[in-house]
Amino acid sequence: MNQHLQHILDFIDEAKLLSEDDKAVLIKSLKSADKDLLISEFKLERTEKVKRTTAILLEETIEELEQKRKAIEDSNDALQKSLNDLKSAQAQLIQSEKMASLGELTAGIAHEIQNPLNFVNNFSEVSKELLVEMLEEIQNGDMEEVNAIAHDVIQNLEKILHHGNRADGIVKGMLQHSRTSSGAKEDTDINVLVDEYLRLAYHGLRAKDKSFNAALESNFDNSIKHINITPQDIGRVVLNLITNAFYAVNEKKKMQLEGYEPKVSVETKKIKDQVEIRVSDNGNGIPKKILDKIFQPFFTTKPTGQGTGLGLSLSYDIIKSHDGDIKADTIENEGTTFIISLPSN
Amino acid sequence: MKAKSIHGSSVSDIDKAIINAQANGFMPTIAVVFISVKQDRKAVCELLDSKNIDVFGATSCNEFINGHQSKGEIAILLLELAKEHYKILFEDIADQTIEASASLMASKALKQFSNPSLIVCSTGINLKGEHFEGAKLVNSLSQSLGIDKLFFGGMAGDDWQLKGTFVFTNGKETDYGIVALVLNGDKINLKGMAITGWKPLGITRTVTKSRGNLLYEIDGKSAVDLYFKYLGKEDKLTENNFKIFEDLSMEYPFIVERDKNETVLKTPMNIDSSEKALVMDMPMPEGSKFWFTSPPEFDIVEEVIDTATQLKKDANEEADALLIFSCAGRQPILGPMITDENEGLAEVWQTPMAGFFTYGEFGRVLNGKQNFHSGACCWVTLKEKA
Repeated sequence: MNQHLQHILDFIDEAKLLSEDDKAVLIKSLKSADKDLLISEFKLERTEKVKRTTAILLEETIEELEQKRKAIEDSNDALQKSLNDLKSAQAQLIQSEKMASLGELTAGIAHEIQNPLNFVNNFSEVSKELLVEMLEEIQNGDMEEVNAIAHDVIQNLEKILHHGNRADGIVKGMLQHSRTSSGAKEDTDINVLVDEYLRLAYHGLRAKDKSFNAALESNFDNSIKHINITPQDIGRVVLNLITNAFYAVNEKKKMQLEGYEPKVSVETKKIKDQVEIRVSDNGNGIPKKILDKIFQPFFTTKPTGQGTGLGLSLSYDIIKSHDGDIKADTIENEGTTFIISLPSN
Repeated sequence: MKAKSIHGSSVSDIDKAIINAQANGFMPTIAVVFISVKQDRKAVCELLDSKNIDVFGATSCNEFINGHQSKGEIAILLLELAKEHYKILFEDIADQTIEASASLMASKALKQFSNPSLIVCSTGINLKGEHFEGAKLVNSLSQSLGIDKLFFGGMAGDDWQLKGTFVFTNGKETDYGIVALVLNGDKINLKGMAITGWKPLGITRTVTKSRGNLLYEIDGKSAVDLYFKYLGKEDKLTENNFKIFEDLSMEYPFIVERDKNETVLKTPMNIDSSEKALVMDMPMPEGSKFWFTSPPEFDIVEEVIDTATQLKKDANEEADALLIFSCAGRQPILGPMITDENEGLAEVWQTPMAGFFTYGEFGRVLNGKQNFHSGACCWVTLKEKA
C-alpha cells in the first residue's frame, strides 16, 4: 500500500473516536483509493514505456520507408533513362523501317520514271527532227508546211512537259514518303493512291527479283470520292500490306506446289460511312497461334535481318490515328486478307 | 449443473474447501484443477480421487477464482454433473504426433457423444523445453471432430519457469499430452470467445528466410538485428544475460496474418546465436505476412467485458459456470487491471469461475472459426440445458 495511505490507515485503526462501522467504511474507501492509485501508477509507467518503444519503432520504420522511397526514386530515374533510350531506339527503328520501305520503292520508282523519261527522250528526238525539217521548209518558203510542223512541235513539247511533270510527281512522292509525316490530313483519291503503291511495289520487287511474278488484280470502287487522310502515312500502310502479300505468295511459290499461281489483289469498297481497303494474297496464311501477335512491335516471322517487325505495328498505329481499324482474315494454306477500314468523311 | 469455485495454497486447504463446499448437499463429480507446478498435484489428485471426483487438470502460470487471484497456488472449479453427460479423456502423446493423438481423442469423443463439446488443455512446454504446437492440436481436433464442434481451453503453464508443464487426470499425468473434458453437447451448452487486443504497428513485413521455429530474415534483413533495432534494444544484442522473452517479446510479439480477417500472435522466445536467428514459439513459414505490434490499450478490459455482456444479452442465456484461459503475457501488460478483466467476466455471468494464465489458448474469436490463439483472453461458459 502507498505509504501515505498506510499512514492514514494506521491512524484510522488507532482512532478511538470512530465507531467500528465508520472505520470499516473509511478503510474500504482507502483500499479502493489505493487500488486506483496503483492502477494509475501502472498506467503511467506502462504508457511511458509503450510510448518510448512505439516512437523508436515508428522512427525506424519512417527511416526505412525514406530509404525505400530514395531507392524507388533512383529506380524511377534509371527507368526513365531506359525509357528515353528505348524511345530513341524505337525512333531510329521507325526511321530505318521507313528507309527500308523506301528501298522497296526505289526499283519501282526507277521503273515508273523510266516511262516518262522514254517519252521525253522520244518526243525530244522527234521534235528535233521536226525542227530540222521545219528549217528546210522555211528555206523552201513553204509556210503552210512550216506552220503544220510548228503545231506538231508544240504538241510534242506539251507531251514532254506532261511526262516531265509526271516524273516530277513521282520523285516528290518518294521524297514525301521518306519525310517524317506532319500528320496533316488532306483530301486524297484513295483509288489512285492504292493503285500507285501497288504498281510501285510490284515493279520494285520485279526489279530486285526477275523471277518473281504474280497475277495482280485490282478492283476499285469508283463511288469513293476523296477521303481525308495523311496520304504518305496511308500510302506507307498500303505499301507494307502489298509488300507483305508479295512476300507471302513468293514464299509459297518457293514450295513449288503443283498448279500454284501467285495472286495478289487489292480492292476498295465504300460500306456505309466507311471505306474499306482490302489487300489479299493466296499465300500460306498466318498460323492461328501467332495471329494475335502480328500487330505487336518487333514481331516478325521473317528471317533475321529481313524484317524489323515494325511494319504491321506502325500500320496499326497509323490506322488507329485515323480513327480506323485494321484486321486480318486468314485461312492457313489458303491465304490472307488484310482489311483496312477508314472513315469516309 | 451446480458449480462452486475454491482455492487454496495446500492440499489441506483444498480438503477443507471441498468439505465446506459440500456442506449444503453439493456433490461435485468433476474438479477442473489449475495448479502451480510448485504444488503437490499428485496429492491433490489423490484427495479428489478419494472423494470420487473426476479430475481435469493443468499446471498454471498463476491461477484465479471469483475474488481471488493467486500465485503458486491451486484454483478449482467443482462441477456437479451427471456422469452420463461427460467423459474425461487423456492422451499422453509420447512417441505419437500431436495430430494423431488429437485425432484419436476426437474419435473417442465422437464415440461417447454424437455432438461432443470439449474443454481442452494441452501441455505448454515439455521437460526438454520444447514448445507444444497448439495450432496442430486445434487444426487436427477441429478437422476430426467436425468444424461445427466447439472446444475451448488453453496450454498449461509453469509459473514462467519454462522448464516443464503438465496436464493430468486421476492417476495420470504427462509433460507432453492432452486432457479433455468431453461434454454431451446436446445437454451442456458452451458459449465463449477469444480476444487478444494486440494491434499491428508499422508496415507489413514478410518472412524471407525461416526454417521450422527459426526465423532468420525479415524483408531480406537479419530478423535478430531488425527486431532489436526496431524495439530500441540494439545495445542489448551483445548482452549474454538479456532475456528476450521476459524483457521484450512478451510485450512485443509479432501479429501474423492467417485465414480471412484473422491474426495470431507469434512470439520470439530466444535467440539462436549460432544460427543468428530468432527462436519463435510457432513456425513462421517463408512468405508469411506480419507486423510488429503495440500492446493492448487499457480499454481492452472494458472491451472484453462489454463484448461478453453483449453476447449474453444477444443469447438471452445464463451460465452455470465460467472458465477463463488467459494468456500469461496479459499479466505484465494489464498489471493490476488483469484482475478486473477476470472478475468482470465473472460479474457479467454471475457464476462460479476458475481460470489460469496459459501459454496458449484454444477458442473462437467472435464469429470466427476454431483457432489457436496467443495473447488472448479466452473464456467459456457452461450451461446445462433444461
